Amino acid sequence: MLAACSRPSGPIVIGLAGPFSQPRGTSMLRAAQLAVEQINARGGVKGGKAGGGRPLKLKVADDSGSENVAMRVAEQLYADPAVLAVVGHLSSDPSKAAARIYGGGATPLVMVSPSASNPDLGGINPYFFRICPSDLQHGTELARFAWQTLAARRAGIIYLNDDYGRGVRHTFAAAFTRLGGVVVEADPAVPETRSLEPYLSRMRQGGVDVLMLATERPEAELALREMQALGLRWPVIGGDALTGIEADGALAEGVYVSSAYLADRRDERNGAFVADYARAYQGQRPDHRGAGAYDVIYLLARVIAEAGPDRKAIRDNLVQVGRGKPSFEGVTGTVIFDANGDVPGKQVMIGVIRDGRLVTETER
Amino acid sequence: MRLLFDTIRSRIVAGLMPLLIGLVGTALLGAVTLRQMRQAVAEELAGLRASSDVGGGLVATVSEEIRTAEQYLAAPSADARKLFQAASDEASQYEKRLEAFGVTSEDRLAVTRLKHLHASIQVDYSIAHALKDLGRDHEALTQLAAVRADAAEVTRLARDFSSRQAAKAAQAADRLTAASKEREKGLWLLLARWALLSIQGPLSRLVTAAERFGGGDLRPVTVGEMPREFRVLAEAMQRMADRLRRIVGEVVGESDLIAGSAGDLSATSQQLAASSSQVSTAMVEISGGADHQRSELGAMGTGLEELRRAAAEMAEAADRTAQLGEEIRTVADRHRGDVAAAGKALLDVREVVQTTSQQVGELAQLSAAIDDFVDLIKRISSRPSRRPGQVSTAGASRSWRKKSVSWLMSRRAPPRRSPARPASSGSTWRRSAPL
Repeated sequence: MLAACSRPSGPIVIGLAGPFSQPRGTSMLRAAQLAVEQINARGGVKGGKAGGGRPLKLKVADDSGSENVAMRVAEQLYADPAVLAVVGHLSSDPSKAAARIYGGGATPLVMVSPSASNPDLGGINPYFFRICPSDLQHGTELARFAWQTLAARRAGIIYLNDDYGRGVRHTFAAAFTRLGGVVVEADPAVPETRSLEPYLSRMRQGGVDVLMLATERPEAELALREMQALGLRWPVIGGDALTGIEADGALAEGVYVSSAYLADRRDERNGAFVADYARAYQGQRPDHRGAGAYDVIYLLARVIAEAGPDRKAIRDNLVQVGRGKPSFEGVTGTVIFDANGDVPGKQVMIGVIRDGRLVTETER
Repeated sequence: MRLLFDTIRSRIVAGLMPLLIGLVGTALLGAVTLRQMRQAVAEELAGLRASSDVGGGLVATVSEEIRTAEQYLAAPSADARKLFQAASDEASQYEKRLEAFGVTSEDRLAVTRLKHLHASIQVDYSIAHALKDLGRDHEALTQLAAVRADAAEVTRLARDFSSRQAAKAAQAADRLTAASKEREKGLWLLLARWALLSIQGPLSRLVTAAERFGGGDLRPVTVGEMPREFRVLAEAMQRMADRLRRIVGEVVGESDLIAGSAGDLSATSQQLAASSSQVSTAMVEISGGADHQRSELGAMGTGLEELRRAAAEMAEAADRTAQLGEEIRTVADRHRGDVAAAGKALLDVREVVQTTSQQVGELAQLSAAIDDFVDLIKRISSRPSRRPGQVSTAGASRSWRKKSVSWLMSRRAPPRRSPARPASSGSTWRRSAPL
């Protein structure tokens, strides 16, 4: 009885870090908040060592997608002893920068990214986890799709000149070449790049069957606009970083996107999630970032309920998910961590933008 | 061996030997400590060295990248393009390695800045190359003019970063050297302290021993190993202590004897006091007894006087009785008729005898009083430590009693003064009994 009385009854705080000031971070923030509301509506985190129903609380931090900001955010979250784990960061470079902070010091803090897919992140430290496939799977699946479905033999690549873009570029080029294709050229871009027209013009001279955009949404939108201006009608494929581009309407129509999650995924649990999300946010649909964040919140709630509000115990419990402890069934699929904190069992799907929606591409 | 290190001088000289040995020890200890320190800073040094190497490699590859980029602009070729792409990828790998070293936040910010700038110039050069490939040389030159400033900045940043890492490595090495010197200094201080303690220790022990002697504690002191000078002093102190112990022992023995004698005297005095008390008590009792005796003697004298008078009267009466008897017998012989008168006379005699008998009873009572007195004297005489006077008093009492009884017995015995009387007197007595 004394022990029950001495248990803390305050909220369980989870950090949420991502580029929430940017459109790509919107779905992640909304889905995470939705998950917290649902858990708290059911009585909070309860059972096991967590005590009898403690509410979840998010500590939201905007990293602006910047490594420097991400490091500062990570230092703040790390220094707050109330924060038991972090959901984030969203993209690869900020995640790499922040992971070194979360995984160091005397009281390391678990971070679970919903969408940071750079291969270098795998095993970066024992406290890093992610529930999305790495770029190795994205690049390979895109190359297979281009080669098999689009029958492309010559590919041009425009990549974001950072870890993510280079990673997707490398895996795609390697897989496409392995399949027999030719990478005509691979040209870098940065967010500050004002025009990609020289690349596109040169590709037109070189002749390509498919344009691979290993970029974020802004660079892809630039490329699509300039392609449109140049009258180029190559099939365009890209990684899950393009998710959200469907909002551009006709500009993005027909773009193929690889993703570990598509909102039309045929799954009862996912159906409920999409419906709840649409109900909560004026008919909006979640993307892979939002779905991933939603799953991470539920996963952490389960782990904290079992392991208790302790950073190390949470990590020790998390590493056993699917390996000694039951796997986690979420809206993005089954989560089973490997030794590097990766989810090798997660499959990458190809979606296509039809009528302003990203839907599952039916194999031709 | 002990003789070699027997003096302070030899110890100080010998102290140099440990110092020399200490140097060897320092080397060994330093090796251990340096090993520990190396372990402590190894990762930092390795990281700094590696980051310095990577920084150097980054500078080289960025320079190569810029060189090949410029070369492509000057003479476009597939090989130059491949070289540029390879240099760009290599530079990116160096940047990743720099990040992986886990350098400080400041370093991470510098690396991030370097990465972004480097990514930008790669893009600018790539666009310039594309423009060049498209035959748009003017645009390419314009793009190139913009990128050259950034390229110089990237080169400067890379060199600065590399220099900073090298400086940090040098600082770490200096810190290691300084720490090593500190340890060496500490070791020297330890040796100096050892030499100091080798002198201070014996002195301290001697002072402690002297303070003990001063405090009166003369037990033998174990001062341990010490230089000869101190040992001589310690031995002198020990001899002094031995003599003091002996003197004190003798004094203590004499004191014990005196104390024993005093005890005996005290016991004797106590006994004397007790005896005096008893004598005093006895004297008081004797005094009381003497008074009583004197009064009893007075009473006895009176009684004796009365007895003597009674005896004299009785003797006179007996004489008279005898005379009367003689006269009666004579008269009877002569005057048978006068027997009646004689019988009357016998009645008188009987009355006289009765009176005498009564007087004898009174005498017996007096004798009982004398017996009481004698018992009193006996009690007094039976007490211990009697004074000679007391003994003589008891003896006198017994002697007096004996004489008194003897006298009384002699007075009870038939009169012997007239040898011719026994027959008549005896007959008188025999005849008188039936009367």
